[in-house]
Amino acid sequence: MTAPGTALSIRARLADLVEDGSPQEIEFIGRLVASFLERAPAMLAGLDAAVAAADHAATAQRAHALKGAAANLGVDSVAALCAEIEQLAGTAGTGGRSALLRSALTEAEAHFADVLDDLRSGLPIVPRPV
Amino acid sequence: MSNESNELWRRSSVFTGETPSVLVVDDEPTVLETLTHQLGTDYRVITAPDGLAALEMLERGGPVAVVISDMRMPDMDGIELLGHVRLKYPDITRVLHTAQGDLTSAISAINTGQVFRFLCKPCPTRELRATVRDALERHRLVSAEREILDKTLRGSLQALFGCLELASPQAFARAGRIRDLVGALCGELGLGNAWEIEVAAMASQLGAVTLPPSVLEKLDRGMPLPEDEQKMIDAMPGTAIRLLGGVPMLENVIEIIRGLRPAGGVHWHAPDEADPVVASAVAVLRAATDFEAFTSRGVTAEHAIAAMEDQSDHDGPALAALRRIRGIEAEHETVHALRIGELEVGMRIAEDIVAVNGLVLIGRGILVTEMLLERLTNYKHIVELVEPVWAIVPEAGTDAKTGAGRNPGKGPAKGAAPGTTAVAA
Repeated sequence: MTAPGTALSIRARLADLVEDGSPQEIEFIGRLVASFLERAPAMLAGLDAAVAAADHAATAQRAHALKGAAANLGVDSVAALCAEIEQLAGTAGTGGRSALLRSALTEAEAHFADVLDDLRSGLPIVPRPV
Repeated sequence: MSNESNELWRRSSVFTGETPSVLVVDDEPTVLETLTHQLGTDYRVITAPDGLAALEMLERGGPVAVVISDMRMPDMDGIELLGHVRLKYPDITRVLHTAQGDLTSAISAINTGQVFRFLCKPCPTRELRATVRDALERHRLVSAEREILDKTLRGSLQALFGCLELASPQAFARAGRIRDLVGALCGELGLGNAWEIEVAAMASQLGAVTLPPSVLEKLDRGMPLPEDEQKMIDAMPGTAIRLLGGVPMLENVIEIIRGLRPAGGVHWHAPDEADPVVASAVAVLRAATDFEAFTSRGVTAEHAIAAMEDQSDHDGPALAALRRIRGIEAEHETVHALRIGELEVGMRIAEDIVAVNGLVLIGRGILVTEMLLERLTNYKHIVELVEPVWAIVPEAGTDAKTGAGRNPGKGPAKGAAPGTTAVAA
């Protein structure tokens, strides 16, 4: 997990979603992000519960669901961790990844706030060179 | 279920009847919102949270040009959904939208013909739009090609069955009776490929032109046949298969005819590898053909169905449907004895119209059309016809006709759906 990489992927994804940059569109993207951030903790809790119960099918399914939601908004760090859990479900321990996921989500939230601020201020959000 | 009521926000757009519809399926609501946003205002985008809801929308909603489906969803995955779409709506272009890790199944889906393209998540807007544009173009081409083929096919089949009518009015009428019953059974059972089964019903009788008149007469009356004559009947499906073998788009029709047991055979088994669509079609056609044989012999519908149930080699749902539709219809049809000049368009011939020398000119079950009346007038100039003739009069006109009505307990198999004769007499 690399924070600059995630900042970039989030920025690139949201930049791709901006069509006309109208206030309504920025509002829409803000709600899309909020919807993800609101639901992610519950999805993560569900994933933790499946891991704790050693329910491999549910683990893979919930990791897959969170991976899809994260990738949709460019949160590559969360998507990559979920992909690992999905692949490892039933074959090896997934211990430790839950804490990493939580921290990745917190970082993503901060990146989202930055990008949305830029958007609302009319600043370009095209991925900046690292 | 439409996204239009619960979406977060959408650009204003004006849709017309020409605006193509794209159905997007994903169990993650933010993915649905994102794809809808990315597709912009050029399409009417509808969304479904799972495979079952998607199929329901296709069933109930307007026409859809493209389906974009997620791969991994609970209950029904994307491959299964798109497989159903392919079977039921072959003109719809299918696109699979997958996570990076699902590449193996996505490749396999493309190679087995289930999908046109696949898109990796998250999909860049430019790529998404280009793919949908290509998918729409494919939909347009496939639909146009299908329309042309449909017209060509329909015209060719009408010509073929028109030849059957000229060569053997008796066999044509029998084919029409079986076809009408098959159509009604398909409606009752909710089978989607009714046209194929109806064409198979007509085509299964094409071989009748090879039968000597005496054998055809026995077949038409459902009479038992000696072994050598039965062999001629058994060969009929083979004749149809040879005639239709080279015609495109009739593959299922040929499979249905191939699946018919030899008439009167006792050792019939469904082919192990039969496509379920073909298998149910064969079951319906067998039920209709056997029922026609019984009723032509004068057996009542009730007894015919009971006998078929006793034979135990008939499909349960097909027999149950037969019981439902025949049980109701026999109640309200009345057959009238009429002079040739009293026949009117819309009536249905209830008993063969024959010349005094016994030649069948018009078979029972045929719908009276203006062309048919013209033909009868011509026949009257050259040959004497046996009168009265028996006809089923449509409900609205039953009171004014001459001749004593009788309840059709025997003989004619009643047409199930007036006006459905494919080839005008």
